[in-house]
Amino acid sequence: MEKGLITSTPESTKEEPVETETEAEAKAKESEEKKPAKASGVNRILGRMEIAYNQFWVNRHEKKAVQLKNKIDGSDLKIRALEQSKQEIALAIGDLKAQNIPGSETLKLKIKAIDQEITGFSNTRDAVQSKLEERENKAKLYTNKRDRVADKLIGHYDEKLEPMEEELENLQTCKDQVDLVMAVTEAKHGEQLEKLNNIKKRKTQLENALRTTGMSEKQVQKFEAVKALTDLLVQGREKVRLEWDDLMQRKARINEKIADVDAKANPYRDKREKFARVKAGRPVSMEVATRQRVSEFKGTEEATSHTRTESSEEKPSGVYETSPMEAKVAESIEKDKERRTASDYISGWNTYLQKKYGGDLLATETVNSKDFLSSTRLSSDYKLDFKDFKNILTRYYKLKKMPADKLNADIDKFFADTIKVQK
Amino acid sequence: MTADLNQANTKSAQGVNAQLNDLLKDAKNLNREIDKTNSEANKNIDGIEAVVDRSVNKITRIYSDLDAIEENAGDELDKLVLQRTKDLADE
Repeated sequence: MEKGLITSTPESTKEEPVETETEAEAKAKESEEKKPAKASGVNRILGRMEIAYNQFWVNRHEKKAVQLKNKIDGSDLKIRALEQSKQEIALAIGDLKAQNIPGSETLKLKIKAIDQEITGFSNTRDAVQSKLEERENKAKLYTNKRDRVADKLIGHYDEKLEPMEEELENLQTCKDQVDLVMAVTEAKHGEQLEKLNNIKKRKTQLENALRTTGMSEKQVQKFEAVKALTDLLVQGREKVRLEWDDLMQRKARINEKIADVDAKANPYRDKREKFARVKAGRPVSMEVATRQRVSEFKGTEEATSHTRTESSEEKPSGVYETSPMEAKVAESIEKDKERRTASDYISGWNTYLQKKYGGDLLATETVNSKDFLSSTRLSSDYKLDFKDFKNILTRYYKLKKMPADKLNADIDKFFADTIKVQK
Repeated sequence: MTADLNQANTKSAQGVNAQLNDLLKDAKNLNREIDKTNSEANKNIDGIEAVVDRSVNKITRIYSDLDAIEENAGDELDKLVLQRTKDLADE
């Protein structure tokens, strides 16, 4: 890839005066020197592809081809004029004969002379046409060679881009898995911090009880069980904090790795399309009455353009994000600390969906309890509050690529109609 | 009177101590639970990161394969351009 950098676009070369091949080479070298050392690979190869086409046509061939075409057109004009004269003379001969006037033989000689002239022009025309066809064929040959290189590249790209897209999709799933692990861990940590708070409250009560027995503050703090409890509470909080920090860092690192390869994918996706587009530069058609032998190039000339296919998979644009909920419901969910088992939530959610949508509900829109528990690694009797359940369920939908429209539309309503009412 | 009070206090302190020890047990269990949660989370993330690394390596290999393919195509194009230049010079 460190080879010569030759960039030449059809636009830039079109307006340049016709130059000799030596000048073209010199310019290419000069251009190579002027370009920054680290130009992108795609520009280099596209530049070479363009020059493989342009150098031929834009330099001088096209001009010469036009000159030849003009010669052919000139010959055609003369031949047509002579043919017309021939017809007029033939009519005159007819008239003379009809009126029995002598002299038609002289006119016949004139026709013969015209025929000879026509033959001469036709021979010249054929020679010029042969020359033009040879040039055209050469141009087509080079264009086809360039197309073969482009086709080979496109083929290799198609072969490689498919597994690349699969791996990138796999990475997206990994990203969603990380989010699910984080959501589950956050829920568990939340519950554990709450338990630590409760232990702390109970500890404070017991410390007060010790004080009522006449112990001084110093004695209370030095009381073995109190000291041990204080240490355990600090340790517990610290463990949660450190783990969360670590998880956040690991998540960021994973996301960074994914973002890095994902960002590099786009230029490769674009390159494939650029290789297809570079083939759009075709030789100019001279519109000469072509001979049969030219047709042998048609097959390859009509190479199909490889249009860039749009990825049908749309990135979820906020579909899985929590829907904007009414302040009241949000506040209510936030305040709701009642814990239910994961199984209760899932069966309640499925029942809610069944009740609301009935026959319109697709099997893929309900949550498979077994799969949910195995994906989240939560036990069926693990208790969590609604806010955590909602968060985990949202991540689960995203990971499983489940249609999230009902989740977004109904999850808060499910809380308001079912969970809140049951309390 | 003082002796009675002291005895009552001692008894009361013993009661509180027993409750504190129960609480200590709860706190230890909770710490173990936290350890288990953290260990599970780490194990899960380890597994995911291993898959990510494998995929990233595969993709990186694909990128270098594509670069190599391009380099070869570049060589072919260079030859084509040179051949064309030579042809034009010969005309």
